[in-house]
Amino acid sequence: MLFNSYTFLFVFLPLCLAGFWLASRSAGRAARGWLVFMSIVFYVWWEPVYLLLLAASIAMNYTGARVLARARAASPARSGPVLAALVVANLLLLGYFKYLDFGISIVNLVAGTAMPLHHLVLPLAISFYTLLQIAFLCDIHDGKVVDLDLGNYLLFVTFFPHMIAGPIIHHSEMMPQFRALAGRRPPAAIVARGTYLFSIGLFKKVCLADTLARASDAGFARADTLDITGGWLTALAYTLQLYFDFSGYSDMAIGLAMMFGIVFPLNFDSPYRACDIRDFWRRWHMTLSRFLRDYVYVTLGGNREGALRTYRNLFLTFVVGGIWHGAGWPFVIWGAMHGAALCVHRAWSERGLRLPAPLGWLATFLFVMLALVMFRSPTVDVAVAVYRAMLDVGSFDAGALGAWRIDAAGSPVLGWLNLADRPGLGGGGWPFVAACLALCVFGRNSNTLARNFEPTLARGLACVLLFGLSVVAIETESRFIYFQF
Amino acid sequence: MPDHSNIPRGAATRRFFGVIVAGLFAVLALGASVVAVDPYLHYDSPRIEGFNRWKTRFFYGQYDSKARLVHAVRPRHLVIGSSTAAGSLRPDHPLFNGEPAFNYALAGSTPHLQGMALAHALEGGTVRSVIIGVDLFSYNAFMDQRAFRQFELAVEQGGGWRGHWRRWRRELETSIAEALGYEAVADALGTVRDQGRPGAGGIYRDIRADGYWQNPRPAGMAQLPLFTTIERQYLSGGWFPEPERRYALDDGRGRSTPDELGAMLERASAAGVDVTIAIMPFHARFAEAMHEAGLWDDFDELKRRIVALAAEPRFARSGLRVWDFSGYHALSMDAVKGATRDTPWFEDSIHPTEATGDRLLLRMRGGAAAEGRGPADFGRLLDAAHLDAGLAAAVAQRAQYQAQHPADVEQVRLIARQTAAWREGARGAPAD
Repeated sequence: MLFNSYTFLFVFLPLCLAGFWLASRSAGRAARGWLVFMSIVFYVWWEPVYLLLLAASIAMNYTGARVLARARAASPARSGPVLAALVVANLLLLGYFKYLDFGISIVNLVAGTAMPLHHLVLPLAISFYTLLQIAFLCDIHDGKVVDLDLGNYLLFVTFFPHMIAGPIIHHSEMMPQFRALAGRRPPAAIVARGTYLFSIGLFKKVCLADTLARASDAGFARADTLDITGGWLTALAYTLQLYFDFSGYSDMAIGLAMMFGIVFPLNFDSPYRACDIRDFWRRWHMTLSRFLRDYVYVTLGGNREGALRTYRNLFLTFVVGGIWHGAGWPFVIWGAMHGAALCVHRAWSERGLRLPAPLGWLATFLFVMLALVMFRSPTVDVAVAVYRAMLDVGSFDAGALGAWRIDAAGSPVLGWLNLADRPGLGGGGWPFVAACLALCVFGRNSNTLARNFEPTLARGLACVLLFGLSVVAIETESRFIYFQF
Repeated sequence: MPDHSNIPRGAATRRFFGVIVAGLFAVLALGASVVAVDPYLHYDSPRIEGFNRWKTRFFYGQYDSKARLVHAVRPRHLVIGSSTAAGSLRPDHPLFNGEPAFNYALAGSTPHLQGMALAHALEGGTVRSVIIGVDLFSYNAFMDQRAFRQFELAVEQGGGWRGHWRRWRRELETSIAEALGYEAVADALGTVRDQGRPGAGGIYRDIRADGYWQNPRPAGMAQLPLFTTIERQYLSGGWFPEPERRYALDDGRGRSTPDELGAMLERASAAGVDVTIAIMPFHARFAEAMHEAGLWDDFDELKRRIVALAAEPRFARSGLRVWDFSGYHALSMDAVKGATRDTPWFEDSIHPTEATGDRLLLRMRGGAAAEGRGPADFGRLLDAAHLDAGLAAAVAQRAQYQAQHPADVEQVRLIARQTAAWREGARGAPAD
């Protein structure tokens, strides 16, 4: 089920909230049980068969967690092989569904064989729940886990606001909150803040990201025919689309969790304001960055084994991050680009060099945008075609920017704005993209808005307006980009 | 992690939620209003004169509407095709003998989609005969079918319990979307506004529960602009997929529209359904436009491929007949003079009227009773023996039309020149 679907907004969510509010009156585990039940409904809504896989994964990991905890209690040294076996089992499961075809294609390429691809459908959320559980197992091994309650574990893995695309939560943040669910209703003030954040997220996804998607999808679909203006605007539109899509999703997830009295970690903090690439990763998909730091970079040795190994670890961490996003060369290259950029930044910083902030911002933003062209492209060839268009100075036409338009057919937002018919705005495409860029760079982000939230009449009206506009503007068949990972 | 301690409690929060609840009620009230208007015949809401009697904005929701309505009708006779059949072949024609019939023709559809519609209708198990309307535009192998993804989902079949689950899930989502979605809200408002405006809704004013597009247009409505608009769209390439705007029966990458027709015939044959193919009529002005666009040879080729298909032994038992109503005959050569509606046979260059559709049905289904009740040159059975003679005759008939209607021919050529100049410039829309 999608957060931006009518079924979610008008059937699932009201039912889930009503049931939770009734169940949370009881002192027992009814509220938690209700949330687990509804989270499973949320998950199977898409494809019931995947529930078997999810159940198997949870059963394996929970049983493994108990065995691991016992082994560690007996002797910390003995828990190492158990952990290794469990991590390998998780990676095999993920690898089978996500990376089998990629592996076969590499073998075919290298060995000149023609093994057929399997074209397996990627089970929903498998990357996220596998990651979550691997981290949980690692922390048991390190003695950082105290709560092995089955109910809490089930909710930890399946809680619907985070399950499909994060934020990637940590058990130490969640378990105490799940334990506190019994016998209390969340304060209305927190629910109000969650409602506010959810409305902002819904608006970002439906009204901004889905409108930008029209431009970027069209551009990438005909990458071979783009001129320099089309190339740059396509890349920029996708850069903004991804931000509004994923940060909108995160706002909705965080807002939804608040409606149940649960607080999630932040996932975005105006990443397009970053003035260097390290700062960017502190602001972009923050919970993934945290996971990669704690469970990949540190595991590889972090910065404890000399400068060269630090660079190697940094680079490999981001290659792993790229591969986690998807099985394909564009993701590997995207991860490698970021890994390399972080290495360059580290070397640069260690020499005490620093760019002036505006220049640093420009360099960072341009790099992120260029890397996202690779991230978005289905094949490396498509990315190369877009890069070629972006460098094709000979195709420059002074009138092209004004004539560039986003296909407005059936688009409520573009229909309302009617930019194409406003004098001085040309085709209306670039002003929309420019406004979105300005919003990213200069606007107050949703964290700030939520932090300063007060339940005033004006904010209530803002919620209604954002929600109402978004509900009418929902386009069916619009998925969140991060669902595919 | 945000700190919640700074949020004021009490009255302020209550006011905040008061606004939220009021807003939610406003959204629900909007949805209820759209359900009452029911612009796409989704909710079976009553039709009220002056409020929602005419579903003038049915077009956007027609695919879903027809997919939903077909099984309610449980048709014995079916019409498949594109817009040229949707508004001309009426299911309540007497020659259907009062048996339930349904017009499942879909605007802008390709034979692939029409095949899906046929399969969906056959699923009900009641269909005994089908008329497949064929026109050149629909048989472009470059037509982008992804735009019709919603229809594919609407008519998805099989899949066991998972298939049922997917259909139920989709029906729930669609039911809410058609009450609150942008298009639905806009079309509901438009529907109410159009009730008092004669001629609103373009050339089709309503969709009936039997899938037929109705057009009770007021007399005296100017007709020539409808013709020139269609011709301009066609010649400017507006109907062909961007960016190349190409036309071909085979796209060179494995897609062949005649093969898709073959698959449709095979499906019908397997179900024991009687099939009649009708190559739909268009006005002679449009024939000129097709010549100007260089597509007449493709049209001849399409007919050859259809005749070859029909002659295949696998269809020998299905009673397959191919009728050709295209080209030059008394109806298509009827003059279009301009100021007011003056040919009763076409709504515009390519869409036959109900009167033409009635004659077409009479010709195909009327048997001996049809003799002498329509122009003798309207419609002929097409088979391998008569195909080439028919194609050759069209050359002579065209010369005759050009001699009789030089002004019409010159107007179409002028449009062709204008649109060619626009295509070369590729800026803005061609002026009407």
